[in-house]
Amino acid sequence: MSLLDDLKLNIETGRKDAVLAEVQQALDEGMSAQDVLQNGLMAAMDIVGAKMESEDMFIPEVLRAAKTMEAGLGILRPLLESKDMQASGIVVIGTVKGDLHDIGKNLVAMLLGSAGFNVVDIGINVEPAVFVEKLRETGANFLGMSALLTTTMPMMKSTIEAVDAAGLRGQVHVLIGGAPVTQAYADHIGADGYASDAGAAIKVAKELGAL
Amino acid sequence: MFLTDDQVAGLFERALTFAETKGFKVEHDGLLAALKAAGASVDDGTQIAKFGRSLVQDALKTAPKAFTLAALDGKNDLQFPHPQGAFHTRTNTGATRWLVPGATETRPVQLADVNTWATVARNLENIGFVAFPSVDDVPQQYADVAATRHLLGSLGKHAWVQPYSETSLRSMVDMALIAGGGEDAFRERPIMSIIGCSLSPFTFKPMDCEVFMAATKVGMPIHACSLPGAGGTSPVTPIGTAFTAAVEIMGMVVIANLLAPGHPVIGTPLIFTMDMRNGRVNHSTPEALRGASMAIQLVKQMVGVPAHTYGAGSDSPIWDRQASVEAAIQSTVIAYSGAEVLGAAGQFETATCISPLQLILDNEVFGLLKTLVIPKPIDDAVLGWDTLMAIEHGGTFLTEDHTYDYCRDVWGTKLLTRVAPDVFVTKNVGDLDSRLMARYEEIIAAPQEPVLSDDVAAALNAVVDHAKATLG
Repeated sequence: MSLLDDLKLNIETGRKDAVLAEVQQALDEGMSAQDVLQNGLMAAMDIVGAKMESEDMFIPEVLRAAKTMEAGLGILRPLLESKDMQASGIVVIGTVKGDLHDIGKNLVAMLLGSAGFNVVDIGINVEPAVFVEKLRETGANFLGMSALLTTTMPMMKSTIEAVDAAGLRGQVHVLIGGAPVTQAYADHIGADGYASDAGAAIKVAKELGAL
Repeated sequence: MFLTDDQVAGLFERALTFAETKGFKVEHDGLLAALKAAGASVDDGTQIAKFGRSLVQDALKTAPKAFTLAALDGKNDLQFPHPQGAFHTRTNTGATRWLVPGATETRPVQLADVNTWATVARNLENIGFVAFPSVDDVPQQYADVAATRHLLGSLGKHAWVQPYSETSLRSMVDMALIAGGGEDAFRERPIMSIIGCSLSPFTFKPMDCEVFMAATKVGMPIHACSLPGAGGTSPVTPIGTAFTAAVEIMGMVVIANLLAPGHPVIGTPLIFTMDMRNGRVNHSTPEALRGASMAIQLVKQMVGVPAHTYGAGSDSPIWDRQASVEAAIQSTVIAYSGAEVLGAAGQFETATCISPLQLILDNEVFGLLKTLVIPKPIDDAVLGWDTLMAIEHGGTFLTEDHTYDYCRDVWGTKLLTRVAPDVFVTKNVGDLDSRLMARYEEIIAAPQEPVLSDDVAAALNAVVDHAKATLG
C-alpha cells in the first residue's frame, strides 16, 4: 500500500497519530503540501462522504474521520496557498425564531464543516433580521435553517422573505430541514433545497453549490 | 422488566448524586427564586439549581400516586392508579399532517380536523384522553388556543394541552378554569392537564418554567415530558437515555412539588434513538423500546409517580403494514412495561402524521392488551379443580358448569375477524381497512351530544377572540 493509500485509510479510521506521522513523512519525502492535501486528505474525505451516503459509515465515525483530517491539515496549512484552501462555500446556519432545539442543526453544521464548507453557526432562536445581518457580514452563499417544531416552521418563510427584502435572495442558496419539514413545504416557501436528514444535507448543499 | 430492584436502587443513588452535584439549568428567574426559597442551591449567574438528597426525597414523597384526570362530561374520569391494574391511553399530540380516511397522501391538519379527531376519540372506549394536533389554517400565534377551544367543544373526555407560547399558556389556563367550572371546581376535578418539558440534557426553558408555575398554581396536573435522543441529547445506550429521561423527570416532579406539595405529576419519558447512519430520530426501534421500558420502570420505582410514554405509533413514513405492525409492537412492549399511560395513539411517521383509522385500530389493540395485562386470579374455582377431578377420562368440558361459568370471560373484538374463509366471502366481511372505515363512518354519522353549555361555549369563544386580538 502506498503512503497516500495508508494515509487515506488512517483518516477514514480515525487514527490521528498515524495521520500526523504520515503527513509529515509525505512532506519529508518531497511531496508538495498541495499534493498531500488533494490526494491524501481530501481524497480520504471523498471516500468518507461516499460511505456516509451509502450508510456504510456512521455519523460519529464520519465526525472522527473529519477531526483526524483536520489534525493532518494543521501540518499542511502553513505551507498551503490561500487558493488551495478554498471552501466549498460559506454557510450561515441556525434554528429559526422560537425554536430552541439544535441537535439536528449542530449535526448538519459539523458534517458541512467536514465536507469542506466554511460554517457560521449562529445558534438557536434566530430572528430573521439576524440571519440577514450575518449573511451580509459573511458574504455567505448558503443559508441553512432548521426547525423541530411545527409551530416554528412558519419562521422559515418569514426569514426567506426578510432575505429577499434585504436584496440578498439572489446571493444565497436556502436549504431547510427538521423533523416536521418536507420537500413540499420547502417548495411552498421558496427554499432552494430540503434535506430529510443530516447526511442528505451535505449532498443537497454540494448539488446546490454546483449550480 | 429490564432492570432488577438492585439496579433501580443503584440508579436512584446516581440520580440523587446528579441532582446534588450537577443539577439542572432553570432559565427563569422567578422559578429559580422560588426554588431557592424552597431549599435548592441556586447559582443565579449560571442558572443552575441543585437539590440536596433530603430535599429531593421529601419532595418525591409528597408527589401523589393516586389522583384523577377528570372528564368534562363526568363519564370518563381516569383514575390513577388504574382501578383494574391496566392502563390509560391518549391520542398523539402535535402532528402536522392528517391522513383523510381513504386517502393515500397526507395533507396539513386543519382546525376542523380537531373536531373530527375529538369526536372519533370520544367514541372509542379505550381512548382515555385527547390532545390536539398542530393546525395549519390558523395563524400560529394563537393556533394552540383555537385548537384547544375546538378540542373542548367536541371531546367530553379529559383534554391534554400543549401551549406554544407564554401568552397562549395563560389563555389555556383560562379556558381550563372556565370549562372546569371555576377555580375550586377545577382543582377538585381537573378536566385538563398540560405538557411541561425539559430540553435534554438537563435544561428547563423559560416557557416550560412558566408551565410549572402556572399549572401548580391552579392544580392542573402536569405530564413532565423528557424527550432525549440517544446519541444526540443523551448517551447513545438505552440505559443512558432512560436514565437521562428519569433524572429530568425527577427534577420536574421535585420542582412541581416544591412549588405545590402534593401536585400531581405524570412522568412522561418519550425516548428516541438517533439513527447514526443519517441523523434521523425514531421511536419504534428496539433500542428506543428498550430505553422506554427502562425509563418507565425508573419513573415508577425511582421517582414514584405514574409513568406515560409512546404506547402506539410508528416511524413508517406512510400508513402501511409497517405502521400498524410497529404500532402494535410499541403498544405491547409498553403495556407490559407497566406504563400507566400509553400515549400517541393514531400516529405514524414518528408522530408527525395522524390517521383516524389508525386511531380506531389502536383502540382495538388497547382493548386486547388490557385483557392481557389485567391481573386474573388463579384459584381452584378458576382452575376448575373440581371439574378436572370429576371429568371422565376422554370426556368433554363443553357441557360442564365450569365452562358455562367462564365461557364469556373473553375479549370481544369489534374489528378483528376470525371467521372461516368461505364465510369471509359469503358474508362480505371485508378486509381490515374496510372495517376500520366502516367504524369511522359510523362514528362520524352518529349524532353527538353537546359537550358544552351555551354559556361555557360563549366564554371560551371570548378567550379565543381575545387571543386573536392580542396575539394575532
